[in-house]
Amino acid sequence: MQRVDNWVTRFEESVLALLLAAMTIVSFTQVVARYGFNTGWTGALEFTRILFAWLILFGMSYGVKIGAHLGVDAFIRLLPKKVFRVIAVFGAACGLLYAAILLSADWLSIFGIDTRGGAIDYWSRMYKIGIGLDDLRYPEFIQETFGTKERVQRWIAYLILPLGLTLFGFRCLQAMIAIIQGKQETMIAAHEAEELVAEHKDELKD
Amino acid sequence: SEGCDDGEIVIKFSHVVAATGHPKGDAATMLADRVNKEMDGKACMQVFPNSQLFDDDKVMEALLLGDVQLAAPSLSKFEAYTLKYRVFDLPFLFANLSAVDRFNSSEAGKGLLDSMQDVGYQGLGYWLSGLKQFSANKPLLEPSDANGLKFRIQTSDVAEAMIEAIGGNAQKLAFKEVYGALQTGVVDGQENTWSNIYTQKFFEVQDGITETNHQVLAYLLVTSTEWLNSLDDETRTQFLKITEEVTKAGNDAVADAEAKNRQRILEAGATIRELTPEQRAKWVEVMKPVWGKFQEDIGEDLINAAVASND
Amino acid sequence: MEAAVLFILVLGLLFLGVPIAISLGLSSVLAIAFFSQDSMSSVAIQLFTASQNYTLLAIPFFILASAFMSTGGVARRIIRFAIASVGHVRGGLAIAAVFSCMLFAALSGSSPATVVAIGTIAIAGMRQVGYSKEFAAGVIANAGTLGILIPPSIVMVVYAAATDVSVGRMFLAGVIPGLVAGLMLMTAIYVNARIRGLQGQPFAGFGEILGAAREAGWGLFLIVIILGGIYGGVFTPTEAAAVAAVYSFFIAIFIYRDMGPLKDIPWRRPGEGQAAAFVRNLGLIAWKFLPGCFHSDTKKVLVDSAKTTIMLMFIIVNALLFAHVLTSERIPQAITDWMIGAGFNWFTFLIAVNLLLLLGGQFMEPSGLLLIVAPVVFPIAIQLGVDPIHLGIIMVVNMEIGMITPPIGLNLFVTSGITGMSLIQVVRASLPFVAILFLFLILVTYIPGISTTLPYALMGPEIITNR
Ligand code: NA
Ligand code: NA
Repeated sequence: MQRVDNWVTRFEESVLALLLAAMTIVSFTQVVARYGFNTGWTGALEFTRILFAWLILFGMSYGVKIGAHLGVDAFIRLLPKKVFRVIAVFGAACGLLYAAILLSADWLSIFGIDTRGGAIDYWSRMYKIGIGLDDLRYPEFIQETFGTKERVQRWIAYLILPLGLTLFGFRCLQAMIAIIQGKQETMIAAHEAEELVAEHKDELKD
Repeated sequence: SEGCDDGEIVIKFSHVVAATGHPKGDAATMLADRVNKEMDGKACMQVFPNSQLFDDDKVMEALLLGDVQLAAPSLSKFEAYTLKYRVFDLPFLFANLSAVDRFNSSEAGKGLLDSMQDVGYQGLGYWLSGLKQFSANKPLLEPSDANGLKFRIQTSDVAEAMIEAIGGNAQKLAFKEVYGALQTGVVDGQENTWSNIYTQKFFEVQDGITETNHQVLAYLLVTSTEWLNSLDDETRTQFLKITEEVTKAGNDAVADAEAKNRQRILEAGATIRELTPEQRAKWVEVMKPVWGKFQEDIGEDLINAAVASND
Repeated sequence: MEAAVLFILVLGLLFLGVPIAISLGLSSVLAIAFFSQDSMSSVAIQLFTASQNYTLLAIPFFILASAFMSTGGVARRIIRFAIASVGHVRGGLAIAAVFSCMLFAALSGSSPATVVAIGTIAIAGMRQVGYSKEFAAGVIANAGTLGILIPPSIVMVVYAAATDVSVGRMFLAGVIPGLVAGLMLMTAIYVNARIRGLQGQPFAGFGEILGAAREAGWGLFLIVIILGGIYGGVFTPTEAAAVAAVYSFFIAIFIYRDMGPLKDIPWRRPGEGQAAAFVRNLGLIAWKFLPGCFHSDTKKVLVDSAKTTIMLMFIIVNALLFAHVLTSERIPQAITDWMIGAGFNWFTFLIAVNLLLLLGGQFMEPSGLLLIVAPVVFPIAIQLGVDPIHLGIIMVVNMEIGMITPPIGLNLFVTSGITGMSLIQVVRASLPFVAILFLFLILVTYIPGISTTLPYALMGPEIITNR
């Protein structure tokens, strides 16, 4: 089990590193192409922005897993241990609820709330009409070999919405269980530099 | 006026320019005023300017999802849905704004409004913004002057081909970044209407503006077929009538506004260069081959109808 | 009414320790479900749109550049240069620490990064020459806040994204205030040193200044790339950030060599001729270029930067969702109408903004706070004739103060973490300097010229066509 976990973590980190590296390299090359050679790739900007969205929407579940999402714990830390744990479970449940509603809000109608749609509905509509992105096109050999349309379909870019939210909900559920079992304290980090500080913890202590 | 009463059909209009002072913003405001007055009790329109709700890309998706009922993106934004609107982008196609008006009210122009019904969109009218002029950080009198310059364009294959034809390099940039990019030299020139050149102060950071009138800038007032069909006959008829009248009134005001802003640019001390017939002929000669590239996408009859509107 | 429910919901969730991003996101989603005609699909559109914002795209690049620079040992070189140039005045080492923070701030977009990078070295140095630990920690915690005022700055990028003003102008606008704030801190240290009769370091000589400058220069050249690149017309601020990231990678791996495949390989071996060293290093860089790209150190920096990006951007994206809900329910407009009706003028309005931000800064991550507050106060500010760039700088300075005031202050946490001092000790230590930053806030608030002179001289006034 531990080995699978490590493998999954390595996979997630590699994807994140790759997305960030690709964004940087494409943007950098674009500057060089324009300034140095007066040319450029029209799809570069759209491509980079899609990678950016993938980085965030894929990474948000990884953030839950490593407990990196910021929260304010100053007040709940004043409470008795047992209450604290219940509230920590509630925090993780909020994350699960967020993902569940955003994926599809239709189930809320059970409670008489009039609302509809969500990431799944949005994605499947885009899949059905099959419209393309603005600037991103398939290279010609792919168009010819696979007989695809000229433009890359929007649903491909938007795939990360249902996917990322599902993963996010799953990680929140895991955190919830871990907190109930007492394996984890909360799902939040108290401030953005926690890890940075941990690396240099008490370096200057007397 | 903005709060909608219970039972009224809510019509959300999302666009990307200021609520006043821009032909599109003004027309949207005018439309909302009339709907809210004349259709009170039946419908109520809320305008969200300045990309407050959606940008031009996402607003088309929001239309399909039913979260917005009206939008007016620039015609070049429709390339993902139909290629026929490329006719408006063809350089030196229309002689002046009245020719554009004549084409729009022709059978061919009206038929073009229905060209995206299969994807679920219905065009309601063309909202003109003006004819585009070139500007650069050096004098542009002949097409060869543009050789090797970087021009900011809106996303459009036609515009890209057009810039290529004059030996320039087409660059895409967000509208709000253009001033800074022109000033610092990220790009050398741009093409836009008098009103946009004036309100964005592009003339401050350019050598001068050449009155080329090379291309029309227009928006398409668009809604979703699903929503339009959901209205009862009486409401739809009344709504469409108001839309048509506002479209006409808005377009009639555009030529005036353009002339005024051209004058203001002059008064601000900027240089405006008019082309002699010979110089103009050279621009046309260089750019006209662009038509051929897109003839298949657009359809020859449509181009002929557009050309015919010049007489 | 809806507005009240929405804000109470967010605050309630925040205090219950729900992650900031989810507090904002869940409240938005519930508001749409209960109060709005909009479908959840349009919230999904917004989520994606917010995640691919072009202006915000600069943030991961600046984070990456800063990470390469921090790991790459640039801080040590900057401190050496700072001590060589100002170490000999009274209170020299503390003044050099402030100067180092200012220089590092010009490479990094974040404040805690500045505190850790400079603090871990400079605090120890200050103690060696007789400063108390408290004094040293107070200096660093405060000077570290300059990370978000001196460009590049992540907070400025967020402000620009929220209000559609230009990032370039905001960056330029931070230069003079950053210098002023730094000088104010230095002056206070100097006065303190005179009163206490502290001496400076012995002057190290111009040779040391030059030598140190040559070493630090590789890192500091990044300032030229970022600012020069934007104003010289080579690239836009987002592209500048990408170039900065690539440059920092190159410097860290191949020039400074504190990490990566060339770690500890000297530029010049004992007895090696200049030409031979040049050829050997050139070959080495070419030979190790690809290994450098795929080295485990490089991957670690990438993963760390991705983590920071995700943590920040997840808050930002949900704050944008929240702002979207506010807009579609027309809440900012209602507040604007109310404030104008209540007779606020620009003077009292700016006091209100300062109070709101100082208070909000206690609970909210700066960028998230900015994204919620900016859409509300920006239109009011414009109506009252407040300059948008000036407003942005006021907001940034407020965020700075929020970082060093209790109960919740990022720089306080970080300083306490690296020094092993208790939070209370750090608070007490930094208090005298907080007073200076408050004075600075008043200056910046009521003298717009400090912020606007430089950007408007170089780039012309900000054109407000939006809102
Ligand atoms: Na900075
Ligand atoms: Na604080």
